[in-house]
Amino acid sequence: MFEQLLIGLTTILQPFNFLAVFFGVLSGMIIGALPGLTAPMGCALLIPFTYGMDKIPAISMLVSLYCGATFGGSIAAILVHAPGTPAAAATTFDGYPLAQKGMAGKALGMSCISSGIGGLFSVIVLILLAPVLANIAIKFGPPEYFALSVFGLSMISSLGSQSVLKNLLGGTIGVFISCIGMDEISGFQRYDFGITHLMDGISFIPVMIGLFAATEVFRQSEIGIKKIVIDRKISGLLPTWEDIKSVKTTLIRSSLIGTFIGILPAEGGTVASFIGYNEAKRFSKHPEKFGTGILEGVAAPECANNAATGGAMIPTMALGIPGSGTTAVILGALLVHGMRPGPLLFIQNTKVVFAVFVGMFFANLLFLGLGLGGAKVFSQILRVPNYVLSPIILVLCVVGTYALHNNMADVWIMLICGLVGYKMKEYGFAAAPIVLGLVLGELIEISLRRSLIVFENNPFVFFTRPWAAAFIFLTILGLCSPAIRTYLENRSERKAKK
Amino acid sequence: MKNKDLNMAIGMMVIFIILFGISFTFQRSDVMATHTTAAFFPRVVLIVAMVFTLLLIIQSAVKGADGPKKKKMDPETFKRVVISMGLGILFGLGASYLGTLVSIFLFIIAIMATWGVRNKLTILLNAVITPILIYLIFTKILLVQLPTGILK
Repeated sequence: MFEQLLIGLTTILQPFNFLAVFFGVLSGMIIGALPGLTAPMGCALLIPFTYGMDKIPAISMLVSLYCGATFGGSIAAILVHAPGTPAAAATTFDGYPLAQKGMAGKALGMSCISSGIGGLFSVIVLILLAPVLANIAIKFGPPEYFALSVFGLSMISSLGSQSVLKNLLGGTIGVFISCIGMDEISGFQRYDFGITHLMDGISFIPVMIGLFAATEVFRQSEIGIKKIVIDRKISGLLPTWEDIKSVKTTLIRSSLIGTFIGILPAEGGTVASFIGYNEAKRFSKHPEKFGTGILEGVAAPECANNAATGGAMIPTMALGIPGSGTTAVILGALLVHGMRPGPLLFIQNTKVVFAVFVGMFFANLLFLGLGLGGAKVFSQILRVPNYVLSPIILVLCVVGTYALHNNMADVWIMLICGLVGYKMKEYGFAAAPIVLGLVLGELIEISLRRSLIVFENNPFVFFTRPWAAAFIFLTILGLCSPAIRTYLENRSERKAKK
Repeated sequence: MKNKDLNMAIGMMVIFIILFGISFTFQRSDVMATHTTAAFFPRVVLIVAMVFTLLLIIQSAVKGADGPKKKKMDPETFKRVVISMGLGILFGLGASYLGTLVSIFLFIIAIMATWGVRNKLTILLNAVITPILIYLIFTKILLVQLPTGILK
């Protein structure tokens, strides 16, 4: 593995690859800093720019955007009390009070250092754990893959909107969309309604861009003109050594929590940051100070949400099961570039995998440098009004989708998804479960039908093979988890308010 | 009193039933009689979707008047949202017939004016700079042939 890492290092240090990582981090920080623009949306919009690129710079850029956006979310959370990304929501609790005390610079500096430490830790875990997991998964047959992908899909109940039922329904709709077009096993057409473009099925890139980006533009039209005013001075970005020493236990704890939460399919930075914050408060000698503006309250959620990025990449790369909404988009990008995430990825594209891991490591180092050096500049991005950004985003949606196959039909699919996504959001449906369902749909169908063919239509095969049975058991557990979590969250919220 | 979830769930149920019916029109091969057909998986998915929808209907019906009510959007906002969506569709159409760059220019002017931006310089700068950047990035760097429409 050390040799592979060295190859990855030399590959990523090539000027164009490194530039891709740099651009990914930079655009991620900008997207993350702007409230309303999220990491999945940024990744979906960036995919069209990668069509003409090689695999390594393309995927490294998207992964770097993921890291940059997760940190970038804290900039708005600290300065204007509006989290740039959902994962930065917990950062507002202490970040904004710190800014009100005139310590915005220190809060941003602490957020940057904590995010960097959490991110770097999770990349190390990713490098160590993903190949091991892939080695185990290589022995999986169709029944195991079916059970595993159903498990991943069942975890969507914890994604996005509050309603478990709507998340599950959204995921099922996503799986259904994946059925449109030619059946891979029999070769017969399904639900194409005689439309030539639908015969090949619906590409998930237009759906992702429509649901994540176009929907957001239509939602912004509800607000109309919105300008953000920053009235805080940013100075003294570097926390002192004493400051860092005072939060070192919190950083270790949040790194572990974030990475672990990230590994769980469909969990992500948002859950990690809240748990990281609550645990820091629980173990603190002065829990009453949380919420009043203390550095520990910034370090805990920021370290945890960035640690979740590396964690979320583990099931995505090793098993092909996305660990979050953003990794679902990254998984889509891997497929666009002709790679099937899963254990075979580590055999067929070893160089790409390790270069991406090293790229992610550098992405965390880069935003550490960029964040500490350029926080003042990034805070100015918040001043860009939504009426300038939103039309440009829709233009990018149209042009980017067209560039996929040089076909206007994709643009119409994207626009329809944007309109449907807007309406669905109004009814409390989240975009991420639909996308996850769409991405996993094909794998679920193929593995289910292959299992039935190989095992002569015996449905009990999913319960008699140990790994498959374990995943089915976890699926049932996963379906019950939202109820358990709601109870735990309510309890933690009550504690946090005290 | 009906809540908005109930209406939506009933609508979805109707769509799923229609889609389920359509699955009976799929071709099947006698050679592969022992294997699952092309309709097998969509039917399984639709049954699962119908079960979830039924649960949603029950949940919404039980909640009754306590369920989420349809929020009334003020007429001005509603108009802005509908026009923005319409402009998005017109932009898609325009890209085919007028060409992408001309459409971007017109779309940005129209959408910013709809949103109430009064500063003409801001509108003009955005409308001119965006198509130039799109042209440079997509056509010159990424070598994407954007629809040229009347500029052909």
